Amino acid sequence: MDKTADTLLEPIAALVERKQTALSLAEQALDLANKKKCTFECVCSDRFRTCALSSSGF
Amino acid sequence: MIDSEHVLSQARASDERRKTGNQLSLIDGIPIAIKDNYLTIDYPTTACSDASPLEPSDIDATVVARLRVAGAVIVGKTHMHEWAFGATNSTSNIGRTNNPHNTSHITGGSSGGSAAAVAAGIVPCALGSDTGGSIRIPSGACGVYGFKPSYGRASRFGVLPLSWSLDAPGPIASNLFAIEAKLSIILGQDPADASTFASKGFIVSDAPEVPTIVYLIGASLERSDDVDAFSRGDLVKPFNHVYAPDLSYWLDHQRRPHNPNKVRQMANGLKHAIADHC
Repeated sequence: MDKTADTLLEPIAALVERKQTALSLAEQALDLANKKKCTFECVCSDRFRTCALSSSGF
Repeated sequence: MIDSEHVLSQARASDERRKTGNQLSLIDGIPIAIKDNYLTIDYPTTACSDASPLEPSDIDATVVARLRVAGAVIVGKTHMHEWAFGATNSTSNIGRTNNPHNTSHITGGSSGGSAAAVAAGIVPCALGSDTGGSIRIPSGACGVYGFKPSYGRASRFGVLPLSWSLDAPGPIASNLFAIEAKLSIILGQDPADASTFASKGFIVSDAPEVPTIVYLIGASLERSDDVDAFSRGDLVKPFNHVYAPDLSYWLDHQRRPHNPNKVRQMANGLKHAIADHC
């Protein structure tokens, strides 16, 4: 394995590349946090928007 | 509440930087969620306690500030065990955190919200903090990667304390490479935290070529002297003697209401004498 910073970090950089833009990554995060596309029940509760995410932030 | 536009504006700024070749770092544009015991300028900090908000929100914790400078998109604050004083995320002002893999299960804590947010795929990276397992436990329970840096490697400035003597900010992520990427940003000296005076930065290319992962399961664990010591309480006792007084002192000086369980734990902490540390 050619262990350079670039090769090690490629997977995280690829997150941006695969999704084309940082904006689409952010939109995905927001969609999931707002349970628009999320299938995980942890992300919301009756009283608060989210259980995985704090009331202060979401 | 969620400030979607604030999140999206950070992302748009990142895209502009990339288009113009001014990418700040390899994590520029990566969404990151922050445990709710880190001070942040854009969200109040509650530590998931009814005694909140109790800190000024006009500064970022050093670690958060470093992530912003590196271009990370701060998505929001994550649920935690109240005051980071517990390992389940079942005690909080907004209820328990459910494990994305099975919502009848706990996430572990106290960084359970950060681990759940990564496990649910909301964000690839999050910040947690670890005193006695608060990154490692929820990361294990949620099936994600978590790492507690050695004490003094990452600045605690702006992180609400549980124990001055043991607290360590650290990353939680969906893969090991993201952990390394984030360590390269957050580790290092900070004039605002004297414990980091000897902290070395982290250079990814200096990391072991094949990371060593220790699996804490199986027959070998059963034969471990460390585990025997742990099961006998040999390791827990000195830990309690250090962190309990730290926490009790700090919470006591907050002069704010706490739930009965926390008051009991504080009372226990105040029983320890300085001699117990020796």
